[in-house]
Formats: sequence, C-alpha cells, structure tokens
Amino acid sequence: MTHRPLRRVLVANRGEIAVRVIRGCHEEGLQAVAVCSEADVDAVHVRAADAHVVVGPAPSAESYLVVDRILQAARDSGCDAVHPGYGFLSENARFAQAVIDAGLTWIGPPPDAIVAMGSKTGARQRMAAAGVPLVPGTLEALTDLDEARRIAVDIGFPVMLKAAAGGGGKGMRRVDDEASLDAALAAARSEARKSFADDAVYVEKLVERARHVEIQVLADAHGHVVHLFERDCSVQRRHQKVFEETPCPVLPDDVRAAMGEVACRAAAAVDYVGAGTCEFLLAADHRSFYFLEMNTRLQVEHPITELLTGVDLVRAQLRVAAGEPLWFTQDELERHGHAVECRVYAEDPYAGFRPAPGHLAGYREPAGPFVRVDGGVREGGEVPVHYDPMVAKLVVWGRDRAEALSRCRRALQDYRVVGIPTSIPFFLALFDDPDFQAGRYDTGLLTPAWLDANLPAPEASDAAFVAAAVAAFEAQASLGAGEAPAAEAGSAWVRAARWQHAHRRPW
Amino acid sequence: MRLDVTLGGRSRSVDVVRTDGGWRVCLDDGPPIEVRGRALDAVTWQLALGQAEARRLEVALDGERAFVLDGVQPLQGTVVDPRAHLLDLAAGAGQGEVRTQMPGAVVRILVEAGAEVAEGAVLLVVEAMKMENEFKAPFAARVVALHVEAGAAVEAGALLVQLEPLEA
Repeated sequence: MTHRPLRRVLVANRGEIAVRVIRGCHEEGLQAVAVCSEADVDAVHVRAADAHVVVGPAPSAESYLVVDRILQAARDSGCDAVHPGYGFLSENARFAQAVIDAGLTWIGPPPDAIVAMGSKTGARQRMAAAGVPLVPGTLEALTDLDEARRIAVDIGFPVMLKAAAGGGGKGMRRVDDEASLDAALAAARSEARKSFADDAVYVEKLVERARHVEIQVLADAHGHVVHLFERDCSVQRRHQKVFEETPCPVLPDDVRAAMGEVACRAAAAVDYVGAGTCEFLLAADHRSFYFLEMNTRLQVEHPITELLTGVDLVRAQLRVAAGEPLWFTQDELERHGHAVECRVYAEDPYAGFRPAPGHLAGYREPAGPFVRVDGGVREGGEVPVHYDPMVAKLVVWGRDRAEALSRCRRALQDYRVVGIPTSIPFFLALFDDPDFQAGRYDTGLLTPAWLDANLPAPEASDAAFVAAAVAAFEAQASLGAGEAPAAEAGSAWVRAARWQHAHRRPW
Repeated sequence: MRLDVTLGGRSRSVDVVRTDGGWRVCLDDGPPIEVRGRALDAVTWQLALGQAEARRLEVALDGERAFVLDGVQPLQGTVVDPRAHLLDLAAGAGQGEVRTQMPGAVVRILVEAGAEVAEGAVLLVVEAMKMENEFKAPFAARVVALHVEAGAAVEAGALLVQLEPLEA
C-alpha cells in the first residue's frame, strides 16, 4: 500500500465519539468535517468541527445511516477520507466499499474483513479454521425453530440466542429451558430485524459466571499486527457494558499473553487493517477463554487502553489509513498502572436503568489529574430521544486499581448533571460493593437483587423539599413582580468541602 | 405561598415566605425553619436550614416538573401551586391507565379495543433507545380504548391503553 496523506476527514458520527475523532484529526494536523441531523445542529460535535453538513432529519435511519447522504456530504465538503466512529455505519461493509469506490480513504478495516467478522456465524467458521477457541454452538444462522430446538437441546441449556449481525446486546436472549425457546427466539429475531435489518440468529452455550475480556488489536497495511492488552468489560446491564477496566483484575500473565496472541491470529486471518477488538469469554477458572466476536471498529471503551499504553488509537487509525506503518512493535508496548471507564448514561438507575433523555438544565464535568471526560453534550443542550442515551465517558487512570477507583469516585462526586437522572449513583454503589472492590465479579453481577440491595431508591431530604420550594417561589416571584432574586444572605458561608453524601473511603 | 412538592415519590406541603435574610419555610405545617442562602447560578442553590451548615443543591424546574440533585442523588417530581388547579375537574385518572414513562415508538399492538386480557398479558411493545419494552396488563381487564397506533411516536407520560378491571 502506498502512502496516501490525508487532509480533511469527514466524521460520520455524532456525540462523544465524533468529538473524540475530531480531536484526533486536529492533533494530526487534519481538518475535520462533522455531519449532523436536524436535531443536532447545535450539538457539541458540530461546534468542535471545522465545518459541518446537515444530512437529514432527526431519526438516524433518515440521516446518520443514509449511505448516499453521508457520501454526498464528504464530496460536497471536499473531504478525502471518512471516519465512521462506532455504531451507525462503522461496521457496514457496503458503506466502506462505497467510500473507497468514491475515491476516498476509508478509516477502518478493509470491507472484506468487516464482512468476514460481521456475520457472527461466518466469523465462527473462519475462526474455527484459524484455530481460535470458540464457545460450543452453531456455525450456521438459524431460521427454523425446530432446528434451533434440536441444537439447543443438544448443547444443553442454558443457551444464548444472538443476532448473527448483532452487537450491543440487541437481539440477545438467555434461554433456560426448552419451554421458553419459542418466545425468546421470536423476540430475538424481532429485535435483530429492527436493529440490524437481518433476523438471523444463532445459538451458543451459555458459559456461566464468565467474564467478558477483550483484546485491542492494531494492524497496519504492511502486515504488522500487535495487541494492546485486554479490557475487562464484565460489568453489564441488559448485556450492555457500563464499566470497563484494564488490566483485568483476575487475568494471569500467561493467559493474557495467550489471549493476545490468539487475537492477533484472528485479525491476521481476515487480513485486518486498523483498530479492532477481539471479544472473549473468560471462564470462571480464569484460564479457559473462548472467542466471541471481533468488532471491526473503534470501541466505546478504547480510552482505557490509551491511558494504559500511551498509544492514541484514533491517531493510530488515521496514520494506518494513510498507509503509514505502525511505529512500535509488540515488544515495545508496555502497560502502566490501571485505567477505568464509567459510561455515564442518561438513564434512571433507580428505575431499571430506564432511558431518561431530556434537557440538561445544568451540566459540569469533573476535572483534575488523570481524569478524562469524553463528552458530547453541554449545559443547556439535550440528550436527544433519537440516539443512544450516552452523556459522556468518564475515564480515569491510577498507579494501581485502588488509586484509579478512588480517583474515579472523586470525579463521579464532582460530576453535576441537572435535569435528567444519570447512572452516576449506580457507579458509586458499584464502587462500594466489596466483591467489586476485590475484583470478584462476572457478567452476572448486576442482577435485580443486586440493584435492589445496593441502590435503594433515594429519599428526599428536608433540604431537597426546601430547595425545590424556594426555587419555585423565587421563579414565580421574579416572574410576577419583576422582583430581583433574593440578595446574598448571611455573611460567612462555610464552603462545603465535600457534598453531603460524599463519604470518603479508606481506599 | 403554599406549594405541594413531590420528590422521590413523597409529597409534602411547603409554605414559603421571604424574610430579611432568606426565607421562612414550614414543611407539612411543622415548625418554621429559617433558611438562608442564595442562588449561585441558574440551577445551584446554596442553602442553610436553621443552624445547619450551608449545602449546595441543584434544582431544575420545567413547568410543574421538578428535578433536584441532592449530592449525587437525582430526585424527580413536581412543584405545584394548588391555587393554579382550583378549577381543575376532579381527576378521573388512575387505575387502568397504561402510560409510557419514556418517549419512544409503538412497535406492535397485540390487543384490540374490547378484548379481554389476562393479568400479565402483553398489550403492546414500545421501542425506546432501540430496546423493546413490553407493556403488560397489571390485572385481568377489558381493553376500553387504544390511544396509539402501531408506528406512532409517543411522548413520556403518554396514555397508551385504557383498561377496566374484569369482575373477579
């Protein structure tokens, strides 16, 4: 592959990942053009870019997902490359090919690699051939209920149904017995059709008490493939990751090395180029691991790897796409300290993580040493109903896990989101769990019982009632009589060093 | 001024009058509390109740809807001036109303008006944030009316289905 310098990059995404990619472009000396829906013209990612193109109305199916409009935006704005971010069109091989056919540089893996890994069943076949360990299950997509039943009975319940084209927990169902298979299959196929326009599902044995551990890989167009160690993504609700950390607290060094080697082999088997992630299940013995799938894009949780290794993955993507070789070898990669990520979502942790999009009347991100916030919202802005309800990712580094967690706790306590509930109280409850503190957890951690026990519904204090009433009283008074709001009262305000509920922990 | 405040599922009546240095507040006709403080910005209030140390709380008001951030705890509810509702008709709401708590799109409707459904029967499916959420009958009921159509977009709080309980 010849060197092909980039100049101006269309960032085909929104929210925090668009902002993240725009920052990477600017650091590489490239211009960045944002796309946005009509609902997003005032969004943060639009302001961060050098220019923007409105690509359609609010629903993503009419804007961010329309291949022709995104391509037209790239041409109209004079871009020579397209970065898809994650989600949306990032793993759409047809889009990747269309970008290439338009004479633009695709900042992602070759379309063939996306196709190879995009169908989970196809990927399983390819990986089995490459000697990558797999969870027992089907190698073919299922459309026939009788066949699904026979296979499930054969490998033994419990099983997982997964959308063949899936990801993000959508179209995924646990099935404990034969009786509930029909309903689960119907629901999984319906969700799969809706999310991925493909209702093929497959069956896999459920590995109980497993951890979700994934390996970041990076490959250039010159045949070099390296891995940047693991991320433990076992804290999940509804099969979606909410907290990630690296290193995995229980992964032995020799298993880490073996997993990394397998991930590189998996990437090489599909002639991968760019940043990708191989997901594995780590069994309860912390030694056996099984390949789940490869995500052929930048992951949401990529920042913790950046903090651990010092490698900027977006800049690496940009350089590799331009044809540059990787500028480091596997042996030169080192892990330093510990990094954690909290996905701060607009959702109510006290109501089953119900999505809670809405207006951000107040918004202040935490700061301080080794605290990074990848955000895509602003005070006065909205978390729109049309898209993923993510507010920001809080990413924190520490010399060790305890330091990272205590620093992250401080940052969570400093985070102010006013107007909509967020998952911030959930993370503080998580950090209080002794098993979590000890690193003892698996993907089954967040049961309804855990949430009931660790996240009791908040009770409104006298101060909360008084604050609400005083605020409403003053709002009405200033409306009605044009009075000035209450002047500063009292003299020496003791500046509260910490918030009322911010108990310091010994760790 | 008397306000009905509901937060975190709990309702209290709160009397507020302004004083020289702040406000005098009574909770549920209890003893008056001298409150001192000020607004630091559009949402942040620094308040001291009685002799207690000043604290900061964030308050966002949107019509009668209220959001209070107390420490890291989000509290959602309402602040209602009862005088504004003197002319409201007696509420006929309540039992049998199936409402969505989140905005979304109606994916499927599984019942028809007039149908009788068992407790726990799925009535309709609303998709929000790409997740499908089933709405089930909370009791054995007859479907009095369907207020939405498949494919319709619904706002938070929207009435989806009106049920009436079946005689036991």
